[in-house]
Amino acid sequence: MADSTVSSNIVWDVVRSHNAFLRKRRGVAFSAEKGNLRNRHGYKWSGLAQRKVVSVHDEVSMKDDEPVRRIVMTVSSGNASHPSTSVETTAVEGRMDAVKAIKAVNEATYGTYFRPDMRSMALARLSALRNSRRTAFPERTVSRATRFRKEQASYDHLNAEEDEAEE
Amino acid sequence: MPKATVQPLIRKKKIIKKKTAFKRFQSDNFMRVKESWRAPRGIDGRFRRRFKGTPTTVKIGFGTDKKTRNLLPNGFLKYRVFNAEDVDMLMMNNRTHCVEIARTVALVKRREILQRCLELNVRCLNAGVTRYDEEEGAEE
Repeated sequence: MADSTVSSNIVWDVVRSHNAFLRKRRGVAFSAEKGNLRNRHGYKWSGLAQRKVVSVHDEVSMKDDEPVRRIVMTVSSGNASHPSTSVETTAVEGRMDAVKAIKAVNEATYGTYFRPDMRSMALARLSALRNSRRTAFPERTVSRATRFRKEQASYDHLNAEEDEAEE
Repeated sequence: MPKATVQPLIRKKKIIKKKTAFKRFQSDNFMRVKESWRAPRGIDGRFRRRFKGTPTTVKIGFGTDKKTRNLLPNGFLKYRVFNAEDVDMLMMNNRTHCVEIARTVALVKRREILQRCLELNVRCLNAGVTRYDEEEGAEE
């Protein structure tokens, strides 16, 4: 999020060629910063250069020594040089049902004419994150190598029995 | 409820224009001339001038279509990841890109990555970690 004293075009010129969030591979340039709704390296999507930034992401906090994830939406408000007040955070999960969460995102982007161009992507991101909660984690995962080794071991056991029987 | 597997957005079929390798000129005549491709540079060379009867030379026209370049047989482009946070980046790009877990990543982080892939519906190339049924797991 660009400082209000610096032009966002200048910030973009600075971060365009190289920055810590840039991930360049095989003809694609992704960007990992929060506030980049599409994670594409570009002026339109940039969470660094743009002055008005909307972010929808997972926030991990610790509760009773266990990580708790919640979906939050942050909207830039005020001066970037004051980090504590520069971002307004809203939780769009938890007690909020889907309709309320969608409404909140809609309101923050399109309703207030803050970033109307970001509405669809913000909503898509919200939906992807909400869907991610419904996925059942695999109960137990074992690598193919371990599985193979176990199978081999079970055969060894049988072979040993056979050997004993022969003796 | 299990999600439907994510399908690639790019539907165009990849066309491979030439399946055999380009061989260096005269590599079949001399042991000392190896097969790996070298551009012909002779000023009067018939091979460089693409005369009739000479083997095919490397030309721009053999290049892969930009739309299908680097495309995997599953229709995705691959993106190498090292940790679960990297997968988040493909959240909105899961129809074009799929995850390839880097070679150096060990089992604990592999599981984290795979979990995140399942959550965000991102396809993973080298899952290598299979779901284990409870009955089978009980053997341990």
